[in-house]
Amino acid sequence: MKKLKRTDYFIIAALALMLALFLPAMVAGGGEEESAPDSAAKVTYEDFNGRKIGILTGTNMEAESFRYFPDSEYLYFDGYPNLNAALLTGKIDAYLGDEPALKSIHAEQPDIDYIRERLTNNQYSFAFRKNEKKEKHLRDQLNEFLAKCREDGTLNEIDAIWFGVDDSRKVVDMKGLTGKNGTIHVVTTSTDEPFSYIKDGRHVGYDIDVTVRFCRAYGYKLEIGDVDFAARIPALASGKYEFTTSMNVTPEREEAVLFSDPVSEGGIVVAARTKEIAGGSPTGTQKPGFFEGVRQSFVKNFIRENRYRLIVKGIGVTCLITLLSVIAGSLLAFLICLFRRTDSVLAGRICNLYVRLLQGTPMVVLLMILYYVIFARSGMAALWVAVIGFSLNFAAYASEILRSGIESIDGGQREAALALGFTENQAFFRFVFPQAVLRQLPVYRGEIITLLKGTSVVGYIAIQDLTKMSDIIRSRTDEAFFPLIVTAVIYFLLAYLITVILQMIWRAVDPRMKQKRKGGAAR
Amino acid sequence: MSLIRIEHLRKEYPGVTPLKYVNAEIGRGDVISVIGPSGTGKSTLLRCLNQLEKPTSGTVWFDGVDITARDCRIDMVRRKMGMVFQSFNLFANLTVLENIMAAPVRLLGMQPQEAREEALRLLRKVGLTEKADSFPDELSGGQKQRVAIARAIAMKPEVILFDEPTSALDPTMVGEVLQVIRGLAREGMTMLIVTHEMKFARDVSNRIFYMDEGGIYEEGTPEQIFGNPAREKTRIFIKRLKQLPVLIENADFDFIGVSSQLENFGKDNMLPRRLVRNIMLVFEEVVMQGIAGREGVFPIHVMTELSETDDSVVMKVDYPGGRFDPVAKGDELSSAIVRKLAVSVKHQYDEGRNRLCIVLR
Repeated sequence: MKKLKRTDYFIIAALALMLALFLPAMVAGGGEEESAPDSAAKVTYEDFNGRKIGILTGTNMEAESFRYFPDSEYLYFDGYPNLNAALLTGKIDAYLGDEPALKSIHAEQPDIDYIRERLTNNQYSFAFRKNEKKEKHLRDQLNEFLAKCREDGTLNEIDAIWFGVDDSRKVVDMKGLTGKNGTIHVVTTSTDEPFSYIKDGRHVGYDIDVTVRFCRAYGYKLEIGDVDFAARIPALASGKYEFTTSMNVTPEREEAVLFSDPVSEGGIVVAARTKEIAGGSPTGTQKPGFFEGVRQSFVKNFIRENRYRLIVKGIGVTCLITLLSVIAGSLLAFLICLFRRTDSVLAGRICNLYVRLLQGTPMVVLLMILYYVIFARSGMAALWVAVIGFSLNFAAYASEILRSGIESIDGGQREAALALGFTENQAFFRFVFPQAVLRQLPVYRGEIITLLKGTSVVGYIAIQDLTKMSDIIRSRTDEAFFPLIVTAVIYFLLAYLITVILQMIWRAVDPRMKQKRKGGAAR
Repeated sequence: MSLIRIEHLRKEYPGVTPLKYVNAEIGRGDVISVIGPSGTGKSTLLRCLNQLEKPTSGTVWFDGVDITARDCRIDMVRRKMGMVFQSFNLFANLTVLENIMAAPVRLLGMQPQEAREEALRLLRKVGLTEKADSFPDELSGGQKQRVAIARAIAMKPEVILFDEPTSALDPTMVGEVLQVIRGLAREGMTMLIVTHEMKFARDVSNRIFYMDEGGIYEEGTPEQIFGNPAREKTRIFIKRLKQLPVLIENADFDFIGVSSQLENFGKDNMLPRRLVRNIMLVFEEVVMQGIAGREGVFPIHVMTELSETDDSVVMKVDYPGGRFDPVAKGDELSSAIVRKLAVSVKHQYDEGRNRLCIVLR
């Protein structure tokens, strides 16, 4: 074995030091607060004015935050998990949230609490696409259904289940959806416990329960889409979905959507770190030791409710999108390459325009344009939209890689082939193209890995990939460390796997490697 | 009937017309060297023959077929018209053997086993049997070019076009490639060779095309072109090949520049390396050390030329000032070196000019 050099020891020591410093801080989640407030004084929202406030993007919390914390600095986050992580790590000091949501967050994460006094009383309604006959009819049916439920006490029963503490009752019975009157498409945000979230790998929550019961009563089949808060109204507008789950009713929104009668009630409350809210219940429980903490955290994030299955499913989706996009994108890149080989100036221009256009468009924007505009009414599944988007994008880059590869093979070989009597096409496909591909394989591999990592934005169009799954877990456990680190490690391993597979392919096709093997066998 | 007939061939590029009007006939068994100053369309002519360059106008007949016709399957014609390039252009992803086998197997439908045996036979012919399984980038320039020649012969062409086959080679590797081409000439292969190797052109060809002014300016046997060219530009070209005039105007002249001119002169005329070194050494000792250090000797005219009668080289040095013989009267060590290297040294002085004549062999 080789002896380690002094620099190696230095690097190892530095790594160990970094790990020792950061790991506990990350697992514990958040810095130490310098002073606990005087427990005698009752904390109100006014105490947070002037401090850093987090805002849940795409909700009416923005306007309310401006009203209640006029002197504050505002930071915007997608979804409760990010808000909670920001709160625990001290990036923000408070945020406004819906009371039911905070009730369940507090239950899961005792370090976060909320001021019991409501700032406003709100009614949450389902929102339908406006100015559409079908949706209006559906809205009327839902109102009729809600009225009936209110009357016979069903709504109270649902309320008791989802806003209560007994976790075993929190299941949605999906049976009996006949679909004899068609299928309805609902878009929701599955990081919004207790209204809509993922448990045991299924969509559950108050809103989901109501929706399923409604579908059963009116003979519909149900399909659920999952996007961030901010994307829900655009998703409705695109025509992909008939309605979306609970939203605060605001005048501005009423211009854009058609609201149902109230489905549930609640209010806006101020969330902050427990130790800063005197009225909140103290953390109480002793903090477990470091290793015990890690173990508990691991169990909570991956074992409980079989949450690892979400991760496995997410890996499957991420791999599927990557694989299909690489295949389709490479074929398209090859096609572009063929077009460029023709003498047609127009074909060349079109190809160049295509490449410039796609290289110049952010992937997220392209995805959303495809999903919410171009394929909005086609009813195509989001997964296929993502594959199309990433294929188009990958083709643009791969065709450039291919082109520079072809240009790097000197024209002399082409001429030599022609002079021997090969045709232009034979010369290209037999001699130039294979060399170009072989030479560009390392760059191509890098592009595939970029694509793999790039797919992490598909959550924007309601696909539950690896990243989205880790968001969903974070929304349930309100912990940032494990889900994020594990996600990062999985991406790294997938990238490594791609490297290994392409290395094997390279070995198989490189004539030099082939010869070495042959030579080795002969000897 | 001639194998190739070129009629009124013209090739224009935007802004330049290398071939204005070319007419020529090439018979079976002809070995034709195409010589001339650079930029006179020698390579363009070759590339117009196998249509790697499309002629602007004119006709090329090959074996009685108009190969410039629109409906001509040029790829079929090229099978019978081999080409060897200046930059070798071997297929980098194939082994030496595969380079040679590729076209016979793919285009002529030869059985791989048969093609392999044939390729090995050709490799033996060019002396590279042991490189059969090497890749092109593992070969030296001379070896690559020999493989390229074998690749061309493998198609059993009726003519081979050589486009400056030795220009990209180190001087040490030129010989091995020319040796292979000489062998082909002996076997009666029809060849067109664009080359700057004049001695080789003279030895191997039965006809010489001297190209200038956008066409074949003069053609004839090697004896005519090299010995007694009929036209003015040919004469200047041939003469310049054999003479190198250098003018030295002061003591700070570009010594390194002149040395490399001498070296190139030797290379162009295929002089032995030893002789080239001696010429450079004599120039240094006589002109640089002996004469240029003195007062009133400028300008010095140095004329280096190939002897008309044998393989010797004559260096004539002409300079003003008082009578001074650097070999007889100069630095002893320098004198000793020059006397040892030169076959003869003569000094004359008349009308205020020194004339020194040194013969080397």
